Amino acid sequence: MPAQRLDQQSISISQFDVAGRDSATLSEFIRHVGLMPEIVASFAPGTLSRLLHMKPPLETEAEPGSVHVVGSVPPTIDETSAISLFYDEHRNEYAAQSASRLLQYAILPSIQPDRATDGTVIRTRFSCAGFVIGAYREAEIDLIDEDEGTLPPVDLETLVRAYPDQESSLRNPKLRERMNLGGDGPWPVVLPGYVLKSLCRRFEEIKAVAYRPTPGDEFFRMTDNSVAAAKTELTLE
Amino acid sequence: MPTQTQNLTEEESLEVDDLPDLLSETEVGIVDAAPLSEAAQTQQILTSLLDPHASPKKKCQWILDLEGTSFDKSQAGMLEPVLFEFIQSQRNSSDPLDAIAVGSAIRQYVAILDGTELGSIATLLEAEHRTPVSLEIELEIAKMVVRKLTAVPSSSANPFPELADRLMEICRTYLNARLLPRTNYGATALNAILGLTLLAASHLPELFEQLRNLRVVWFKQQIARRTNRLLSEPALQEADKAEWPCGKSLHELAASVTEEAG
Repeated sequence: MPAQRLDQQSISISQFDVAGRDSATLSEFIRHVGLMPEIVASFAPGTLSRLLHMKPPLETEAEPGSVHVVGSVPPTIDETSAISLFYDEHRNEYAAQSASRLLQYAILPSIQPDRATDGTVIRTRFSCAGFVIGAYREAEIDLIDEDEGTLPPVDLETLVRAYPDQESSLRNPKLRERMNLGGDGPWPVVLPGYVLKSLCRRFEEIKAVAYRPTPGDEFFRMTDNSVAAAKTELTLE
Repeated sequence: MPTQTQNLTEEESLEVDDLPDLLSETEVGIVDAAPLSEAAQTQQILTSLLDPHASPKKKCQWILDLEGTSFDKSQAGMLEPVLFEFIQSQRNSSDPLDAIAVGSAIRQYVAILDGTELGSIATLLEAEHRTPVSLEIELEIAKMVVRKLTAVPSSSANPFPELADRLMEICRTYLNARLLPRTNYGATALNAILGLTLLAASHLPELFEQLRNLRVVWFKQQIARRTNRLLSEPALQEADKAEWPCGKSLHELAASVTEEAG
């Protein structure tokens, strides 16, 4: 299966499959994405799992959490090696819980290098979606087309509805500005759900063409499972 | 040192209680602080770091605090020796928190170095009599060498022979099928290879020969991808056009790994 909302059946998980977590308040809205750190032969719905993710910090979770949607390319051994290497390169920059979380996180763009005055990159910041996108790009799989004008605009109220526990930060113009969310919006933010929707395509297509998100892709609905299943059948044919 | 939260108004302090996981109390203080206080804050951290009686633990925290600040040229000049001394004194510490601060100090040290001074980092890659350099430190240094030479390419071949010697030692040790898939080895080797290439080091014929004999296809693909990405970086494109040695070396590296990696 390229991507599916976990329902009743157990599924097999490949290393670095993409896992999505739902918003607590907005039904079927994907609030967070990360990578599954290891192979699981039979993953039952409701099972908790640690994620390798940009929380911040960039980490493998200490405590397992819910997984509601899983998407898979699936990556080859060569591709997982490339993703591991990407993680190794960036992990040490974020090893400290005590290091500034603000410095680690990016919202717009989803991947943002911080540079010294001469242009030397000091660190790269990611959103949770940006980390997954960056990891797969290292394996030459471009999940999302982030070119100018391709991402749907997201308004402040959508962000606040999606992230109610971050409402005070999102409503603070200075904090928004720091995240490049200047003015009152809307902004071309890569929402976590886009990453899973990008995996709701034929395997060949996922590897060949970056996905262009459309409004509504921030949700992954149960009905998306049948769409994904039909596309998988096409792949197998 | 004063806390950064002193800049918060009462109303903002109340908001801190229900802050999300994205921003800590301290970070709200930084964002809401006036620009002048950020400069003053940097100066305070710098003054604290220069205190000869400060404990290594406190220095670790101040180094991490530096990540959130910007500094002017004169402050960068004062910071350079402080960071170098901190890296040298703490690089063998077995405390994981020290290792994190050393990694941070390495990134900041290389970032503020003038391109012509990059050779100074070679000393930090020297293994001492009883203690080898940790893999994490090797990775951080090799990665920052690549980042510096990407932003500020060298116009001459082999400008820092000692640094090249240390990077080649890494390649000789880690470039094999048993080590490359293991945590941090592949990333360190990859950056050491790219660093040597950007230095147009005299070791390149030996390195290319070693790569020809290496039977790890994914790793060669990774070298090819990174090399192509470097060739699209603006400063390196200019260097390539100007026929600087680093441009030629990058093309040779790409050719040497593309033949077999396919």
